[in-house]
Amino acid sequence: MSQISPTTLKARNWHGFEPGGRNSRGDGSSILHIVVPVIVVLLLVVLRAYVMATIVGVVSATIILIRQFSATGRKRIDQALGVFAHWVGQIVGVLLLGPIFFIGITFIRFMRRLTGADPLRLRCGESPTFWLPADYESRRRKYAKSMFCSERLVAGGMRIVPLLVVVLLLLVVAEVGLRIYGLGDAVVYVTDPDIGYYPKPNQRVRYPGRVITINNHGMRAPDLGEHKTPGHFRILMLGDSTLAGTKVSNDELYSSLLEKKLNEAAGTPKFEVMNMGVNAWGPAHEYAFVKKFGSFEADLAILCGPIYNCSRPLYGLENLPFFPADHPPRLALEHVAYQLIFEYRQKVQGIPFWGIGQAWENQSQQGLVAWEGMAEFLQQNHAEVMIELLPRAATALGTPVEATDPGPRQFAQLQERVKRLGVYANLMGPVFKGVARAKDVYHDGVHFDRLGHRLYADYLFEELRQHSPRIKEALEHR
Amino acid sequence: MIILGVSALYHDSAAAILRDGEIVAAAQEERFSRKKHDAGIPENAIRYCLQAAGLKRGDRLDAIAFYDKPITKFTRLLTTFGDTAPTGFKSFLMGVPAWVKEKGWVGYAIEKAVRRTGIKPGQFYFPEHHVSHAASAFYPSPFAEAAILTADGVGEWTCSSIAVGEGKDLRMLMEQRFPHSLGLLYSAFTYFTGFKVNSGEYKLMGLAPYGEPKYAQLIKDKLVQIRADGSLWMNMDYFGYLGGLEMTNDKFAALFGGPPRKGESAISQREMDLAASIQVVTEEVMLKMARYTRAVTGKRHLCMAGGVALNCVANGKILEQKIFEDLWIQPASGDAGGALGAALYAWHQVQGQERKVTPGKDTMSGAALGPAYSRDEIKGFLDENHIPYTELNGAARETYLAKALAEEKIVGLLQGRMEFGPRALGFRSIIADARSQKMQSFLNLSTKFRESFRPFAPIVLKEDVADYFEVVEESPYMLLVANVKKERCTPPMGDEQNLSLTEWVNRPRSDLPAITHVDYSARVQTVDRERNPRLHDLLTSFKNLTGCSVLVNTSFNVRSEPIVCTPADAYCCFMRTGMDILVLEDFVLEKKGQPEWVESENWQKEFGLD
Repeated sequence: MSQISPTTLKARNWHGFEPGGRNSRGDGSSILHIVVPVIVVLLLVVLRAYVMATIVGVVSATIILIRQFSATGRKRIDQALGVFAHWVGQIVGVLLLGPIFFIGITFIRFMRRLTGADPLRLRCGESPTFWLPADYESRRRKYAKSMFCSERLVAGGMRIVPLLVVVLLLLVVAEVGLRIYGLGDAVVYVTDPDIGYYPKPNQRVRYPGRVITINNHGMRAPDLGEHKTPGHFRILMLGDSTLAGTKVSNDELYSSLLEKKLNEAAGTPKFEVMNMGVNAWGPAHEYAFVKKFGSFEADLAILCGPIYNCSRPLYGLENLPFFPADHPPRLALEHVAYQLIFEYRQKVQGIPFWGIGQAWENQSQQGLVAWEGMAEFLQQNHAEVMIELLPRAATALGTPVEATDPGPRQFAQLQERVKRLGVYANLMGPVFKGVARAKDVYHDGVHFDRLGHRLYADYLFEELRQHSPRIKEALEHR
Repeated sequence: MIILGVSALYHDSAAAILRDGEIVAAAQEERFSRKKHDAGIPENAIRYCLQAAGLKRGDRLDAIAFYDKPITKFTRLLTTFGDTAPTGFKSFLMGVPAWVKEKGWVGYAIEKAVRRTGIKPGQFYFPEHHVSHAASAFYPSPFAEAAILTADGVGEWTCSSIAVGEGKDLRMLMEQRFPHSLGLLYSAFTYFTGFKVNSGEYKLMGLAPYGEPKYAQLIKDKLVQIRADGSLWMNMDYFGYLGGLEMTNDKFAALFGGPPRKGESAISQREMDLAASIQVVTEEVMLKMARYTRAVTGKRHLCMAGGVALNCVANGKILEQKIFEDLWIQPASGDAGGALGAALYAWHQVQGQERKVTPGKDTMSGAALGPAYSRDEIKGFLDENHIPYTELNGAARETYLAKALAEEKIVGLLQGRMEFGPRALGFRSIIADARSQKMQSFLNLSTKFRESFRPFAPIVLKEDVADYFEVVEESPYMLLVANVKKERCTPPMGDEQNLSLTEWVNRPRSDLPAITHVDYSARVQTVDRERNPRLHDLLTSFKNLTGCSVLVNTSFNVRSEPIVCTPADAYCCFMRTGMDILVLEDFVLEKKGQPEWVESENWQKEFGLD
């Protein structure tokens, strides 16, 4: 007699269903199994985690191959991945839902106890009846939208909702990622009708690879006492983002390195360098700042920054990608969006406060006047004044100055203006030529990288030793 | 206009379809997926329904109705956690992701399932859970107007409700809300006595006659307050389901003298007494609710649905007390029936379509709403597999089967459309001689592989019901329990409580021992020619041969297996069990002469334990 078993029994496609049910294995899942590891590997490569990328790549490729060619292997792998996913899900669930439950929902329970609310009628055992009027109609009205509108799905029409959920989830992931990367926290600025803006005092902001500390006067320097310590020598440096530093921590700034070199040369920590460099400042901002807050009893004031800053008029935060102190970024995404919008506007509209033609020329003259006025003001406040200006990065690295470059002309005009005050003014020459590569000195064509700060600190140290009588004197009288 | 109704994601997923208000098809997903109480999106059932309604690729459904309102249910879930936090985190951790991942998006999942068939989904509606139950009870009923009583574990908030149906209108009047639920109270005892919740409730009901209701007063004193109007309040100090994963807690166990019974362990007298006690309490509540429903609505007829309406013992008591003139219970009273109710609600309430009522005749087509198989399909299957058979038609088939049954042979029947709902009503049934003394134990142990205490139901010619059973005139859906006529019963000997379950079961109690439960009750199904002509003919042939118009009818499956759907399912079940004959429409297969059946592994593990 023949044999028959459940596995050999030839069952028919009784209902004529076409494949594609919820238990069928569609191409979509296979593609997903390949696409996801590829994305992860690419992401790791972008993050330069090459070892991890290799491990993930090899493991994923092995899994894909086994799943493709062995039914038993596929079953085992799916089981293992299922267990793995379960536990990952549990851990993620605990991390995400734990705070909601233990803080949020426990608080709700606490408030219910406080207010006597009893939505489950757990304390209503004495009621004469436990029937309630059917709340159906009121619930129907309350959830009318969910009954007849928001839950209504018309052929393809409501796919927007899952799409929005996916977008929302992506935004959450992006926010978390950006936060981990270090965005979401930013230096904030006090707006001021005279100065335009300046960093809010007492800030500490952590960016990827660096920490920006702002002291009690809004400077990138250690906190300062109200009065200078007797015997100490104060240097006030005023400038823009090239002085404030963009990609380095406080102790890597050329101002900090200069202070260190001077103190080493003096053999005693008597030099205090105050870095009043503020992003996007021009001479008008600097002058307004010293007029408002004084010279901080500085023995020496150094006016810094690119010569081209003379064309910057006095302006506030309106057209800058910086956050006012009363409106710090709430999200890392907001931080990024702020920056991107600014860059887009700058690209499309140009810089609104940047004059063109004669207007630009006039603004430049105003800037030179501001530097002159500031030098005179600081001298009246008993500070020696030096002007140490920067050329274009290319010039500093040895490229000959172009004939159309307004920098040398503007510098000559400035020299002429401050000659009567006996102020030493210097426009740095091609000092980095042959010393280092551009990408090591500058990180964006304008701002110094760590090496740039070091080299410029050395340069300034020599400049001070040679051209500042008070420094010479201070170093000689150690 | 074609409307698809769907129930899913909790237990007993199902789909149903209406064409211009007429019920065309309905089926539970478990029958196709072969996974008992399948709770997934009923993709196969949806496909079957769309096919049965004659829809083809490119056609469009006019509406889809889901049987509850997810957003309301989710608010209940969160509100509940607001009363349990900071305990209940585990439950929160399980519940919330399920909502985020699946339950909150059920509409999209259904839409996707429909789209996969090439058919365009239509407008979606989400009537509330108990509205769906009420609609499933009233709209197919033979009553132009009626009171409606629904009761189950819980829907969104509602656990039981009273409504009125008049023509096409359905008005919800009263409700009892979570967590104070008769269904959950019964499920708590199901859990505590070692059976599976949402599955083992009917076992508890079957166990009740073996016990004494000695805990009934304790239940009423400590666990639940019952008012004269049938409303109840549960003392949640004794239950674990608010914030936990178990139905009862340590305090509950202390009250009943020890921890819950472990599944599959021996059933002790405590479990039997607990079953009897909770059954008594349930009947008391149901009777009070029914009386209150009559008083509130003033209607002469009652329609019932919801999982609790499957408690046929309580249903029988309501009928016996003559609270209403007539009673109609939705045969798919559980969540599966919600799919049908939701579709009917969308047709009558949302679309405002009138009802056509034929007095005395419901529109459920005897619950035969599932797939059927043609002669060619079955013959093809048998021939392809070289399965020997005999083809018998009409009277020859009935005579042959009647003779075999009279010889105490066990027959598996697959004929006509599969039943919708938990009961096998003669379309996918195992039948046997009710007069046989050995049949109950034999069927339980060698054919169904289930607990020996479980009773079997009788099918009886409708015209002869009064000869065998008290009170009942008509029970086409096996939802009423009635006592076997006194003159047919053997008086108890008085020592039953001292016997083991098996000994007690095997002791004869009437001249129909296989279907007479230890309390002389039986879950009766009356068979009429209109609803089930072939079964009627078979019973008539059996009566002509033996003088008895009663047979045992049990579902065509083994323990934990969904009732068979296809001829292939039926053949597997036939070969695995002690059945002697399999009937696939007109094809008769005898076990003797079949190819040798080889099982590669312990096949019973395939279905797990219910």
